[in-house]
Amino acid sequence: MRKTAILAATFSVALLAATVHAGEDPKAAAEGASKKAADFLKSQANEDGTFGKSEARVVPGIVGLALNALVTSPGVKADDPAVQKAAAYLVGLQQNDGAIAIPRMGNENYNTSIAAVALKALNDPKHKDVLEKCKKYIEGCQLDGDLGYKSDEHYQAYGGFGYGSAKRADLSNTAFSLEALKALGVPEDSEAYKNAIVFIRRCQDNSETNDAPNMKGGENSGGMVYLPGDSEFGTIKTRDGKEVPKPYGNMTYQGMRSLIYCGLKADSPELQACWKWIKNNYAADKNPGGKGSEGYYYYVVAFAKAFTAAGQKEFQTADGKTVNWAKDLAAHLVSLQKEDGSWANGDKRWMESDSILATSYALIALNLCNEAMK
Amino acid sequence: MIRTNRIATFIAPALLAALSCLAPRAEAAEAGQVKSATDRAANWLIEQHKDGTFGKGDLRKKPGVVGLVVKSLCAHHQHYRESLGPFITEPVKYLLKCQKKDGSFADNGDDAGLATYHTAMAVQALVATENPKYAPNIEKARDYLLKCQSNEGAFGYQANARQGGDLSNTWWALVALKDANLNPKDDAWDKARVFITRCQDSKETNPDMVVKGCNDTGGAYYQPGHSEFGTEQGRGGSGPRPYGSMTAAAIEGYVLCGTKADAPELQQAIKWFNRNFRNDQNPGGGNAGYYYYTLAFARAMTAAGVDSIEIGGKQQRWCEVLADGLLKQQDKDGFFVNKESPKWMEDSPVLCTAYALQALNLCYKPLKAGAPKEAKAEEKKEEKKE
Repeated sequence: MRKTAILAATFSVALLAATVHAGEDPKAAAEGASKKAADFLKSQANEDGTFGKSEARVVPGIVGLALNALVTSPGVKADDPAVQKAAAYLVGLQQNDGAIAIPRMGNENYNTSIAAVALKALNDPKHKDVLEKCKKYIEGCQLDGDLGYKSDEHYQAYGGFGYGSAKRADLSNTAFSLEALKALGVPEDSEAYKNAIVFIRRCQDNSETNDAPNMKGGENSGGMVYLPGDSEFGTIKTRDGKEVPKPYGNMTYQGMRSLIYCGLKADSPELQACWKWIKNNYAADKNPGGKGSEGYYYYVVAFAKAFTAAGQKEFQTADGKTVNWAKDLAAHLVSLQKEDGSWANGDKRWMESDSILATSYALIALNLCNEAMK
Repeated sequence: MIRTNRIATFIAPALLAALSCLAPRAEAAEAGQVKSATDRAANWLIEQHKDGTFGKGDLRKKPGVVGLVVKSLCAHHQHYRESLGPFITEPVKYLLKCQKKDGSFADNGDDAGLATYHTAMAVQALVATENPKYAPNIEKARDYLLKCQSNEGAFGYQANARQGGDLSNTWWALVALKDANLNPKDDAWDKARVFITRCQDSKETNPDMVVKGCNDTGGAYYQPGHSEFGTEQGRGGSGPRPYGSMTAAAIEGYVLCGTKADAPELQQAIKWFNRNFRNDQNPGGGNAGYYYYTLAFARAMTAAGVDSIEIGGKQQRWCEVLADGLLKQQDKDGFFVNKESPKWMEDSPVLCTAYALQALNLCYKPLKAGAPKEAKAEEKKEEKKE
């Protein structure tokens, strides 16, 4: 008896949810979701410019992501107190060397790159000097000849960027840094991009363009990993029994967008290889190559920003289906949004169970979807 | 080459670790805190790198110090290797430049006074890079070390000494010989084992202990009949005072020489720590040699396969308690230095940080894996999945 009642109740709730979404225009639903999410973030704004109550709220990168989410939301005005306070918080954390960081907390380059992108999006002339200092700081973080790195000898690092005080390059921080340098107007012919390409290539499972000794023997899938020879999701066994680092969505999309920022053309073998992987592994509802929902909200940003940078709205996947990434992603994000307008990952890896972080990621992605669906 | 079981760091783990350094510490350190401490120590050491050496002053040129730092970074959970940056390639090049024709390592201004120590540290560093290119260098160094063994089985600071030698140099030489893959059947091992028994306060196994002054504590000291910390009065009379760093050196030394786990000399040395373990001092020696001791102790427990010992009357995981002691000493900038005692050059932050980082790397492994019972359950789960 009781079981049936519970079942019936569950069923009717599911039905109700389905009707709500089915009855609504998907574009309108996505725009409504964006507004609700922005309201949620504003409701979480603290007096000091941070958001939420978690211990991590002070991290400049998290404040930067929330600020970026608000600034890119159509309904939020630049003079909104939450926006102004968050911007002031970040500016107030700028150190003498230009980093926007909490002294001794580490991750200086990660924090500075994200904060700079958010401040730049505000487009306020009073931040000109702050951003100029950020640019110099980020440029100085690239592991290149100035820091004694050599392309052949240090093939796991050369040309890349790391967290900052930790001198280890990875594709995630490289993507954040290049996004910032691009936004801050580093010219296209700059050495920074040329050197970055060297690093990004070595993260790609593509023997034609990858010369890193520890990336040999892959399946030429075109997918990318965290740093040469190292994936966040372990290894896969190739047909001939060799273990190689496993490519996955987060890094492939971050790498693809970075290559575009670095000036590679769509017909370059590197970008062609990215597309090959994407067409074989297209998914809006999970981080392909990953595990469960780990890192899904980071993924949605990487996904939406990469397609935006590539300027491609629709394409055919390997199995012949025509897909529209913005529609697919928006629909899935709408289905995952909570009643209060927030998102949170059931999996806590990379802190995505934090609703400020997950909502910021989701809102940045959703705003890009809405832009693409216009 | 590829490591699957490592805790990966992108975005959040690093942030969490960074935050954890602000949180109050418990008496038993947790994996996240220890990981963060190793990150801060490693970052600090990397920042000290310039042209192949670390830090300032003449000490930085000693191959022993450079070797210790390189090893501490290679053993870090991020597996720093040459391909990751100049902070490994340059020091390795510097070490290779320091190698003499006879296979030993010394810097140019050095009187070769500490050749065994420097050579042993350099060998460990070169092995830790996992670069097969250095096999000939390692082999030459191994042959040099073998020449340093005295007739008594001990290693002293220099080659070709017929007599003398001490437990500290003996232990380090054995560690290097093991890293350099010396044949387990080589008689160097058994000769060294006999020497170690002569440095232990043990009635049953010390062949010299017909001499007066045995208190049968199981602890060890620097040389047969001699402690760096004077004498101790016990029931058996007055004898050389055993202390933590040398007792730990004896434990790993025994294991390296092939001593069986249930051998009385090994068991007695481990039990010495049940009564004497401290995480804030080198027990028996006070503050002198504290950082050397933390490394010796962590290595000893790891080598002997011990997970917990009796601390303050109850069984505790040594990795939690030792790491807690170290974390309390870490400077906000990430380094360690012995503020209480300059003995054995522990007024050098580079040296202390290298010792401490190696010790913390060894604490982090069992902490991350969880207590042995849990670890076994995990293993079973993994098997089922496959």
